[in-house]
Amino acid sequence: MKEPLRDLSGDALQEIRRLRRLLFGLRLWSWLRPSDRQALLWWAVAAGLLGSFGTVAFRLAGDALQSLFLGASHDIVGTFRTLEWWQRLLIPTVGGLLAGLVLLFGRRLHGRATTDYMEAVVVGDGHVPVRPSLLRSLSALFSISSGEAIGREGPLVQLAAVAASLLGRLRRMAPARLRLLVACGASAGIAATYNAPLGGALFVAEIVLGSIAMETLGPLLISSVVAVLVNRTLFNDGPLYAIGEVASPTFGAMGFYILLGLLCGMGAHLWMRLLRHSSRFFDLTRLPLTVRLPLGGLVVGALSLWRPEAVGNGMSVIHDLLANQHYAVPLLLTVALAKIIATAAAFGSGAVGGVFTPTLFVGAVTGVLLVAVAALVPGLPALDPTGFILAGMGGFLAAAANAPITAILMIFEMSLDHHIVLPLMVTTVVALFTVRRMGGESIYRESLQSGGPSLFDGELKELRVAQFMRREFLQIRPAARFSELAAMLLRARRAHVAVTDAEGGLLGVIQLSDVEPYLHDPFVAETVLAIDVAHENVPVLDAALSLPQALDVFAHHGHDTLPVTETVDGRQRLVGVLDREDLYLAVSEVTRRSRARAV
Amino acid sequence: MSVPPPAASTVCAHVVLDLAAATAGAAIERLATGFSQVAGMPAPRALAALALQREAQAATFLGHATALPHARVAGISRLSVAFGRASRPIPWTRDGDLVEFVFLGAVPAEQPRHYLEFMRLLARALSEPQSAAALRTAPDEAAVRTWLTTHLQLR
Repeated sequence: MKEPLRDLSGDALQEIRRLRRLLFGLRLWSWLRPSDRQALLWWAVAAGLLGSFGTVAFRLAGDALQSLFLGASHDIVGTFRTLEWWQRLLIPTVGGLLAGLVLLFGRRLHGRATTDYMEAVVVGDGHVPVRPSLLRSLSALFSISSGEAIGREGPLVQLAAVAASLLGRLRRMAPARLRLLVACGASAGIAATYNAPLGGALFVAEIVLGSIAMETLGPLLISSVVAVLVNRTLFNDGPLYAIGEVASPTFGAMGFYILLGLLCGMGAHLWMRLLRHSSRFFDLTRLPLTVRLPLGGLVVGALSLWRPEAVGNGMSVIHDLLANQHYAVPLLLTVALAKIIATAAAFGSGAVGGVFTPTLFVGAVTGVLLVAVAALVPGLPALDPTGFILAGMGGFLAAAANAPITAILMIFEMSLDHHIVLPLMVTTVVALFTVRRMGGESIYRESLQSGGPSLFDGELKELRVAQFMRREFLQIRPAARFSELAAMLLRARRAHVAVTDAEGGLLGVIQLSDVEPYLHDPFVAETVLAIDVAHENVPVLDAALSLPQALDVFAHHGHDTLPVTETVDGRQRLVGVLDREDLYLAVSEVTRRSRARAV
Repeated sequence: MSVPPPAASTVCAHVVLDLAAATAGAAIERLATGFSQVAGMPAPRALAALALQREAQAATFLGHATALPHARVAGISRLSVAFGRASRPIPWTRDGDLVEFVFLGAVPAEQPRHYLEFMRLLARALSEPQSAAALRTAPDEAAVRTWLTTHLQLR
């Protein structure tokens, strides 16, 4: 016979104290527990942290490898100027060979599985494979560190996205939420690379996700901010480009900014065609990777004999232009030509990297050339070189990436001069409309459209709950004691536990809100069974239901999470859970794509 | 968002002052007959069968010579309880724990908190020796009902 409380044995008292601690923990958790939307913001913080650490690691590794190749970890153009002619030829070629070997090894190991984070977000389900991505990043390190004319933002962002994808997969996130987390990782990578939190978030929202709704933009902004804070703490980075003051734009100057927009639009169209043709040329040669990449490196090396500025991503030339703007036009034209050909060779040969900074370079040169030409015409007002360089960068980026808002914000964040905003707005819009008039697609969109269909490309009514549900959930057997249930809820931080039989059949669902106030009762802990506190008539979703049907069920019943079952041998077996939030994210994305196709 | 615990919504269906039963099963079957007049309840035999099925999974002995066997019933909105005071202690568990007070509950299947809250009130009431003694020595059904209303908020 059980004794009154005051006469309980030591063991029983210990049990009561343990249960009281459990109760405290559950009450604290219940108070602190975020909603699904708020939880996503916390995951965005984690993605931001991981993303920034990934970019830091890549930067440090790149600097170390560059020291190995060139004897210096900074100012790649200046370092190349000091090299002998044979070194200028050999180093990018060897770098290309090593990069090609890594890619070949990766392809033999993993096949041609896509690793691109954009594809994972836009086309796939957020799954970015880790090992192939790491191998591609290693290949990029060899290319970039040996002077290849390619940007490093591609692999930097890729690493950040891989980290986020891994995090989301470890948490068994549903596809819609995993995509968004990968996008947060990518946003963090871009923001950390360019010290531009707003631009990073808008880049991913505008170009990758195609949506700037707060449900998607909010987490992207959070992860960007976290990444930039980490970056600034570690590297004490200021604005990416140190510039003098931008002159306040006048009405007269605006006319030239419009002209600049036209030039950027036309130039971006040609730029993208050049990159495409270069890719196709190398494809036609059918050369293996171990020949293509060193060949691309050799071309860059050869160009560097003529103009050392051909190597690297072009950032140092942009710095020079903004710093002193004293490039004579003929010299600038040769630098630009060498750089454009070098980038086309690197890109076409398949070197892993990005074209973001090279695109900014071409835009900057366009701005400088316009100012130089205008200076030759008597009677025209003197144009502000800094303003036109920045506006040229923004215009070119907006046209090439089809992302005017991103371009405006990124250039502003890179320079932190508010006078540039008005010219940027004009130049980017004109450039974008010009490139569209000429039929140009975004350099990012083109590669995505050549990929396979996405989970989110289907018709809403054809998509099934099983494709979007979460397969990881808490479950407990019906005869489990209440104390076991309480311990499970506290460890796993979930609001629901499914009660299932030995064959996985759903018997009911326990809600944390029902059981939380009763944990301190020792009578409840050892007397009550899980099945005693389960809701048995819980609405369920059949795994074969369409998304619109699932929406109906959620609308009727007002639950935030519903169990998903499938019929096996005549019995309803629990196979997953679907959160209302994930369903809304999926429906929103599917609807957006459907409308885009209809346009 | 938490739902406030149910208060004064538990119905006392039946009181048996001298519950004569040699086993837990007999006690449950005897008390189940008291639900025959309560709207929405299954037949007494069916109710008893459900409660016995639950008892077989794990004994509902609470200590303080009290047991709370129960059946989950769909379609009812309130917890209904039949109370029995054993004329002689009933062996309830395999360990031989003896029971004087039996509360047979018909628990709303969709509102598990009713059951948990009732159990809390019951444990609190019976942990006080004076209140337990008062229930043990209540002279008639009216006194028992008064006790049930006062301590367990039964109507």
